[in-house]
Amino acid sequence: MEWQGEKLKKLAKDNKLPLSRLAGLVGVSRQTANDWVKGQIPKGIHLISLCKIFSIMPDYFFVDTGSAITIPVHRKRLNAKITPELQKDALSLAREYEFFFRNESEAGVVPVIRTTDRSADSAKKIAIKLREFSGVGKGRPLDLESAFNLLVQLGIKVVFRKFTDITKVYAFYTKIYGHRVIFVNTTISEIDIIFALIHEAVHAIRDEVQVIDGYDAEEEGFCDLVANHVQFPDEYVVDVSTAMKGLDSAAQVILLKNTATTHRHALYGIVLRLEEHGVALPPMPSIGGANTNLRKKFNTLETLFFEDSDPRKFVAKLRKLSPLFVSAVVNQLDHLPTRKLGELFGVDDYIDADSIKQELIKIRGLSEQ
Amino acid sequence: MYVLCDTCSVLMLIRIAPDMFIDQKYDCVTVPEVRQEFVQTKKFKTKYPWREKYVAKIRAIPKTQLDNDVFQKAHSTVRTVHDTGLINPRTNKLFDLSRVDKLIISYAVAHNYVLSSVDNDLVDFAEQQFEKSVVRPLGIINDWLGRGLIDWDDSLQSIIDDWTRCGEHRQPIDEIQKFKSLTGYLYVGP
Repeated sequence: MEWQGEKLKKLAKDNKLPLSRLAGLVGVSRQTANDWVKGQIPKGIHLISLCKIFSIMPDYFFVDTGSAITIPVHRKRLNAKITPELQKDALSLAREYEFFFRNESEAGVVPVIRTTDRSADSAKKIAIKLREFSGVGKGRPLDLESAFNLLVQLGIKVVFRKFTDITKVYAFYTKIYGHRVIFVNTTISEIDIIFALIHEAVHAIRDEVQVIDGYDAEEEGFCDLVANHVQFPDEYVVDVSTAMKGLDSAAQVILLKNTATTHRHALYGIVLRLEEHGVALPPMPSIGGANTNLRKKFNTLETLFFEDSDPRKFVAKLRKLSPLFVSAVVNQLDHLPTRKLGELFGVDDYIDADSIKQELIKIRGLSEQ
Repeated sequence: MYVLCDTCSVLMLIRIAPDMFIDQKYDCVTVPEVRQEFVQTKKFKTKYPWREKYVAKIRAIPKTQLDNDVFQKAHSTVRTVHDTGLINPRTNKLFDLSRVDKLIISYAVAHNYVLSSVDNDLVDFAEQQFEKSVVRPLGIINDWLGRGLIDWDDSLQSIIDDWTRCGEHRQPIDEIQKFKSLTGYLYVGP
């Protein structure tokens, strides 16, 4: 938002009100009114007076200059469309964090993977690199801990919020004042989050790629390809396909479901990888049905965070999954209003927010010892 | 002039004068958002197990009374000014207030209430931008004592002691000294 002092000058002139008289009406010196015309923003109390005098609303005097927040990039969730309303809603959420990240120290140097090659080979190479960053064991599917570790290594701050009904996506990536931020929808299931995180992480490391309007089908497809290879390495895919040999469709679905339950992931990703390996698969409706049943066995992130009704455990979980963001909040504790702290963590209540704040103060105290 | 009490102030004062929002002599008001924060189910176990006992005592001014043209202008001004990115000289950081913080300031500005809050950034913004008078909870207690609205005794003293357990905010030195001279009791709070 930028103050337009010239508008005040014009308004006063149009109303045949000399600046000296205007200043008197507001209760300030003529010099102060001159300063306003030259670009100094009036204090709130004086701005209200000006609005009363001219019968206008305060935004008349301002222009929106935008902010250092990149347009959120999205992966579609099932058949959800990327609409302007969705974009606006996501941007609105990101804007709630604008001043927080502006107040935060610089993001620092973070890994970037520069390539315009969006081939399958390129995807595999990037996936290998990302798996190294995550620390996941060779041949193992990426688990939740490794996925979040990957984000830490990439300098990405994760923000968990319950998205509105308009923003029907699992997660989205955006850059706020140089900070890489992934917003994660807490209504999603544990088993769906890993793929979503990796997908957004790929966006983050490729953020020099220009994405117009937050959606580029080819770029999304590439990010999906990379994410799939990160989550399901060839060794794991081979193991699963070997186990599936000779089984009928029903048995294959059961095997896939059991494997997914053990390794805590959804079915679609592994199915795509098996298809790439030329494995004959059960019909999609059976897989879809199995995936729906599988999802019921797992919690949503919201349930995970609040199941204990204990702020200490809530903060501990957050620290584990999003250490960079929690650390940034701890840095700003002294000047972060309690309710704003609650908003940053998606807690819409002063008393709950205060409980979290007290836990973070304890953490800060321990780390300073 | 009425004092608009934010949630943090309500939590500190409601046990001292349970009728503070019911009996006009206390000169205190609060708003629906604060009432909502006080009464709604919490996600976490809280340090205020006594809250439920006082729910009926938290009477807020109705939205219909609060939400007029003057308020709309005040609210728009608070949001606009905040969103320009103002630096708080006390902290040297940008003000970063929540949606409800801005509403509370707007109510105080629109309806000419004195503000009572312990949230330093909310207080700073209100004072710096709107020259709002702010009074801390102990200041309100001293006012009630001065006007003979409450008689201090051991049970009220134990509530002040409880403020410390609850990690409530520090109170101004001048109010602490005034409290001692008004009650004869030593201030044992934060």
